[in-house]
Amino acid sequence: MTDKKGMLVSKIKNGTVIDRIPAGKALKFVELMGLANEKHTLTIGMFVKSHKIGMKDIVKVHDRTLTKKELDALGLFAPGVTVSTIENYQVRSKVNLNVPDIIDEVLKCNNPTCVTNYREPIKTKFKVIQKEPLLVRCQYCDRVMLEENVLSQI
Amino acid sequence: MKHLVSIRDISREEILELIDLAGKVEKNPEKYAHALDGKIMATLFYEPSTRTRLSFETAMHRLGGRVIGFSDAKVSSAKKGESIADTIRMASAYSDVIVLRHFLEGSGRVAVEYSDVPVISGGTGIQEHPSQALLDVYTIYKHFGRLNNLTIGLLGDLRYGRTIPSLLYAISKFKDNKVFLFSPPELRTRMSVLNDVRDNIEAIIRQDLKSNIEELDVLYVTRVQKERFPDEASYERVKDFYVIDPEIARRMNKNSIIMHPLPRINEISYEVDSLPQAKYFEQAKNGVWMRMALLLKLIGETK
Repeated sequence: MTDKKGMLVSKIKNGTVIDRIPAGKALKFVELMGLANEKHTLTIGMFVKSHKIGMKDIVKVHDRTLTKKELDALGLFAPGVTVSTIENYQVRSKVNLNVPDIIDEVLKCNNPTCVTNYREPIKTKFKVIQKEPLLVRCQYCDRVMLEENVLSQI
Repeated sequence: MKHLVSIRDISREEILELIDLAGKVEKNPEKYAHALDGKIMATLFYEPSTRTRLSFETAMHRLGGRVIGFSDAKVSSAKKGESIADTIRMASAYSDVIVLRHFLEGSGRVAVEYSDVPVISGGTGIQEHPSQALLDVYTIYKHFGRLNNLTIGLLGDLRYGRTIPSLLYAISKFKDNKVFLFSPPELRTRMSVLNDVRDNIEAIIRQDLKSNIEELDVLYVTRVQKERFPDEASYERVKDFYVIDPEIARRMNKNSIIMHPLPRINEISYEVDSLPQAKYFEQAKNGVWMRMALLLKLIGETK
């Protein structure tokens, strides 16, 4: 992206750069994060050539950072994505996202008689018991959800 | 050990300590008659129960403590829509220990988050029934003098019976145990529970009890509930398959035991009650000793 031939997707002043999104998934990602309904300027690059992963997508969100919950969801949706926070054209922090060990809030337990599906002042909490393929366990009811149950939620 | 909502949360050593203490209490109950003088136990039962509630209440009374609570969600403010969290906050302000039975899985964990006093699960949905598992292993230990190197058959509804996961978790803390899981295919032990114990238990899934009956040290029978089946026909097809009659009992090893968390309906015939293997009424009685030990350990001064 920053090679000598110049910038295909121009630099942003403040905001977040989500890089190395699997090629073709950028639009799905924008929808997932609810960015399509916000007023923040978005710059989207799709099927961008990458030395490391062949082809990739990239999304730049102007004037917005991601919450922990959004980062967790993103790690589940597309492990390997990098997220950079930009301040005044400078990269302030950069993280490589992976499947988190504990997932707070993002997921809903698919056990209909799990206490988290009732009116209690609690947030869901899942422990990742296996990353490939994904298996998560509800820390309240012990229900184990499979990758397809997880991905269908995000 | 601060609470007891899952056997997964406690260690083998803690189980052995509880068994040891239950034994002491059983031998000399008078010594503990005032151990919990002035303490109050709240029993919050959102689901009907006979043995669990009565034996917890008996245990508390025998230790000199008092009991408050409800045994029917219809008479509590749950009916008005109060959350578990709020009910627990209130009960933990009124009492020194809470026993909670609730039909939702995970309710015990919510209670722990909102309680300032120890919480004991008296049965949590289909998830667990930890105090039952403790009295079960106490019963097994009293008879065999060990909790390892045993062959245990679990029979009946292994999928929805909340006793089953707790008992498997307890057994899995000990070595060299072999467990036969006898059930109709639709009532097999949940995969997540099997995964939790597979490193420590040799588990063998069977549909038919008859071929392995002679091998068993313990036959643990649970009720096959009609409401777990999609239709009457599939219930009728399996229900008599899992009835223990004297003929089956006599094929068992002389030193083996038959257990049941009770209530039984017809899965153990009355003729079996007088056979030496029948342990289920003694098992129910052991519930009081073990629950006394549990209360002493959680809120007793001397522990």
